[in-house]
Amino acid sequence: MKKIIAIVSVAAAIGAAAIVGLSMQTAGGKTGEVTSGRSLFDYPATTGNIDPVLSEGIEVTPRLLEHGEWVFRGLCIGCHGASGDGNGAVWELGDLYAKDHKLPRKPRDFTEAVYKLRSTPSGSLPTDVDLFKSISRGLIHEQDMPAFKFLPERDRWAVVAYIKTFSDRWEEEAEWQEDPIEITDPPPPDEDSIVAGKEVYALMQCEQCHGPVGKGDGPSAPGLEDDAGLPIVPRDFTDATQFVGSSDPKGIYQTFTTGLDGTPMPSFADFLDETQRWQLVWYVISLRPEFDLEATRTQMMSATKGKQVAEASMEQ
Amino acid sequence: MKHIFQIVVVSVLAALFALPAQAAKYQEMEVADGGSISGQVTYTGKVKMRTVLPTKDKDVCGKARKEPTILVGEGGAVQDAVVYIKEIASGKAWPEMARPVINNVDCIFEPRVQVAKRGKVDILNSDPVLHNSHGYYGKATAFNVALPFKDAKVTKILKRNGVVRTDCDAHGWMLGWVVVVPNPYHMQTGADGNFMIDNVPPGDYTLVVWQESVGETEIPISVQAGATTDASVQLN
Ligand code: HEC
Ligand code: HEC
Ligand SMILES: [Cu+2]
Repeated sequence: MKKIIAIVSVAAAIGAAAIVGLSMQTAGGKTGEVTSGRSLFDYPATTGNIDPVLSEGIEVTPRLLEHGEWVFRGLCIGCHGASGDGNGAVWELGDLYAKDHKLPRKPRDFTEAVYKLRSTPSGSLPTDVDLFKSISRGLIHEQDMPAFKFLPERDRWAVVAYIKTFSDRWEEEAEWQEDPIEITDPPPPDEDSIVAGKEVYALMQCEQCHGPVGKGDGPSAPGLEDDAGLPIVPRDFTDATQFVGSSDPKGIYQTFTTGLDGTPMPSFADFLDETQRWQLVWYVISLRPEFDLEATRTQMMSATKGKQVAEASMEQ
Repeated sequence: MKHIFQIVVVSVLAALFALPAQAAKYQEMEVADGGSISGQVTYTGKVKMRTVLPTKDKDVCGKARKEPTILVGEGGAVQDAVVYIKEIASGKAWPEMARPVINNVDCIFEPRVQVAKRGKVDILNSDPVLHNSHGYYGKATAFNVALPFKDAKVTKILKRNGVVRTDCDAHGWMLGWVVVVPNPYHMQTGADGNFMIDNVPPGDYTLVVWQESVGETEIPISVQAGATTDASVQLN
């Protein structure tokens, strides 16, 4: 019975999400200008975009914050809680009624403003785009948090602005923030870079936590905890569907460069040069059983070539 | 049902408006007729022991052992307590303070307790093993950096005032502290447990005495021009 209630309420939440999403589609707004052929308020053809159309975000006004509160109440409050501390009903109910449906991780406590997925160095706050992307992509590992990429962009920007109101860190620490890192396009992998990447992996001691072949079973793995005091397991690199952040080359580059704050996954910002970073990225990716070096390489080479041709013809 | 909804709305609104006002920045000024605060931090209770149980890198980190969670000397004098004025809008200039260093030596943070001003901190590894220094303000990450080999060094920023607890994710038993103080009126006690804070503009203040296992103890004090106020405190 209790389980049924839980299932029904989850279904209701999903229904509500769909309705909110749909009604927003028609809501429109003043800033509904068209960027690269797409309106801010339309659904793209696919189920949604992770990178925002407007990378600079939209202006935070009282009206936007109000809108953000509404989105939060409709879609996020159940997990993240009314006061943003992560003690929403889904988390608490999970404890009381539906042990098997318990969320594996505690929903983020926005009052602490500690975020895993950041383009900024460890200890710094994420950028608005970082938050936008996390909300869009969801934090998929073990079904931590669903993806909200189906939401109109204005809703996502609004809720980004709203969740920042839960902590004074954005103001109090503003002048001490460190700049985001910049990540270039990855060089295509080859045999040598993967061999070299394996050495970097050993030198950096990733295996202490992630294990000798990236299964997440290194000697330091047992007993690790996150900042909520819950056990946490180093990522198994062989399953790309189980990442909390992006599992593409740039995503992995970002993860080990800035670290996942609130977890034992540290930042390795200071010990690697650019070449070593990409070697390490490709080594980590090469541990996936489906990885095909030749195919990846060919695909990347032809993509770069296409880009060069396009650029050359633009210049003419 | 309606009731719950109201609670939700009210608490969201409360959250919006309950944000603490930003702490005012400390202003340096000439202090004429300052007074002093002095005293001794003591402890007479039972000294609790903490078990340190190295589970890996034993050749570097040593064997299982116990260590006290409070350093108590003769007459109950407490070492490594940090005493500071909680809030003071303006007062004497900050002295030159060397950049704080957190050094990982034999899987122990050196120093275990230190005082710093908001700003940069150097984190070093003197051991031939991976350390992962992870600093927190309460539950919030202040820095989370890997130090994969000997002599690895990282510079981070302590972005706000408060107590930073440092752990190591590679060695769960490691523990260190940096107290980031809001003003130059502070002192860390030595083996005699004594402290002396001078050049304080006359007025009423709250003195904070922090010790790693006791936490913060607050004492109201009143400072008079040219006089020394005794603020000895017995922790429990
Ligand atoms: C089903 C429960 C659930 C819902 C609904 C939910 N979240 Fe989350 N959220 C989580 C959990 C669990 C985490 C922590 C995941 C982790 O630590 O891996 C999280 C983490 C986050 C993070 C932190 C990302 C980071 O980098 O650390 C943000 C931001 C966030 N959620 C925003 C939202 C917003 C905005 C909504 C509503 C649009 C929302 N969430 C709805 C469960 C949920
Ligand atoms: C002290 C232990 C520790 C060390 C050392 C460590 N990691 Fe991790 N790593 C973790 C943990 C724990 C997680 C899982 C975090 C989570 O679930 O949020 C993780 C997650 C990851 C992820 C997945 C991120 C995602 O989006 O899901 C990548 C990639 C990664 N680590 C790469 C590395 C690399 C490369 C190194 C070495 C340069 C390294 N890690 C060293 C503990 C560690
Ligand atoms: Cu260590």
